Amino acid sequence: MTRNWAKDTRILLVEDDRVAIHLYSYRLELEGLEVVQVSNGIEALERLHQERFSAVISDLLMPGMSGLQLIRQIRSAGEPWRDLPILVLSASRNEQDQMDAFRAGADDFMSKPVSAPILMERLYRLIRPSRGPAGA
Amino acid sequence: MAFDPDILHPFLLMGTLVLAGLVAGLALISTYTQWRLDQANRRRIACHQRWERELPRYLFGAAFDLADLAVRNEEERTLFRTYLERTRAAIRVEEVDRILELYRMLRLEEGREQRLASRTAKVRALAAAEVGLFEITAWYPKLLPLLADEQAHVAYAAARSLCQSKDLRYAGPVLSWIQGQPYYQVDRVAAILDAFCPVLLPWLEAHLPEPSDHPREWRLFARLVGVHRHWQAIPRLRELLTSEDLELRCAVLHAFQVLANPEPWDAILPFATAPDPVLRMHALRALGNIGGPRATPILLDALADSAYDVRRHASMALADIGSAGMENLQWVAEDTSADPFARDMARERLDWLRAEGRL
Repeated sequence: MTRNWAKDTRILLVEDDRVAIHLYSYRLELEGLEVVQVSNGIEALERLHQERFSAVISDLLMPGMSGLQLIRQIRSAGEPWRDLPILVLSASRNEQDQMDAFRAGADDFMSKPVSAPILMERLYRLIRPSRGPAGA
Repeated sequence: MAFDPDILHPFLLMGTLVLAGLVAGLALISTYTQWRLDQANRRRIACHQRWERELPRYLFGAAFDLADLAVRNEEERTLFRTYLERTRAAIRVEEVDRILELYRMLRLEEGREQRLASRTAKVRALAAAEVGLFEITAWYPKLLPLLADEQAHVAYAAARSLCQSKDLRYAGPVLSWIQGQPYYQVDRVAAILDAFCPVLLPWLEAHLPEPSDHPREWRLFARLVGVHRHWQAIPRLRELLTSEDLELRCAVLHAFQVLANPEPWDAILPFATAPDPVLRMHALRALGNIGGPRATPILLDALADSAYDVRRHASMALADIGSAGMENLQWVAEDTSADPFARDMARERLDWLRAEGRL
């Protein structure tokens, strides 16, 4: 299936692990997405104020501002971030962390190690253009 | 008696020169040490920049320069091993085979036997972790002696690698190692068994000794059953509810809560009115998670429990049910004829929900 969703799609990738950030960035860019990398929540908020993004992919455990705090800040800011898709990538498999992420306002949660094809598919589901009217 | 300056001055001069020499020597040594560390850091950064550029290209099938991935000396080999381990922890599926291929192609496995027997604990631990991360099946038996290593983190790395093997031959030794840990560390250390599951769970059910003699092991079993949604163990968990060990019964009730399977409803129900408040707490959370709105009357009654923690957990269970539970909390909070403890707890929970943005 050909997808045009990657065109003009900008992703803000928030991850403090340099190895992971380069891997995920490269994979997303292979798909045609434009990726902006930041290593902490404070930088992420600064970039969000300055530029528009189609989605945010964020880790949970980061120095300074955690991923949960970042998500809460994004959701509490109102427009234009209220509906910004947020996907959490975390090494945690703890159900409580997943619950906390969803309650904070995340739209999806994936545990590391991450399958690249599934990451792309989930991102597509979050970002894809809205469907046309249902039915005939 | 005054000192003769002609005798004193040379001593003072010599002493000053010796001290100055010592200070200069210390300064030179620390400068040299810092320079060495800086050089090592520069090399490490240069290597990482090279690998950050080329390794994703290699993993995802794009054109890459193998020379940039080649390792030139033992220092780079050690760095690249660690770098590959971090990469392995970040991605999975198709790319893992490429990582293993690269690991063998660059002969990063060389010297593993010496590293496992190294006098430096950190080297032993890294070598043990390497076996698990790169799934070097033939080397798992060589990790067994490391379970008795004098350094705790080396034994931990060996145990974790053995769990990653998912080979039940190592289940017994790993479990014995966990049981030998100090009581306050068992729960933390037992988290490594997550890598062994779910294949480990039927083995545990078949091989663990009687719960009356070893309740701690069965508490671990209950926790793993919940985390890994091993519904097949529900009949065994029901049996464990008859144990005399309080913590074991609590662990089982918590496992039922996590499993969220309605089957053991009848087994949990009596614990909602158990004499022990800790049991009541866990039972209420389990009933709320399993029964949903069916549990509402029981939870509403428990809002007036004599123990604060039981009331708190009843209110949390109601909140977790969703809008139906929250409506009931609001009704209790506004009902002037309701039990004052229940009304107070309902208000406390509603305030918390508002603060969390859930109301």
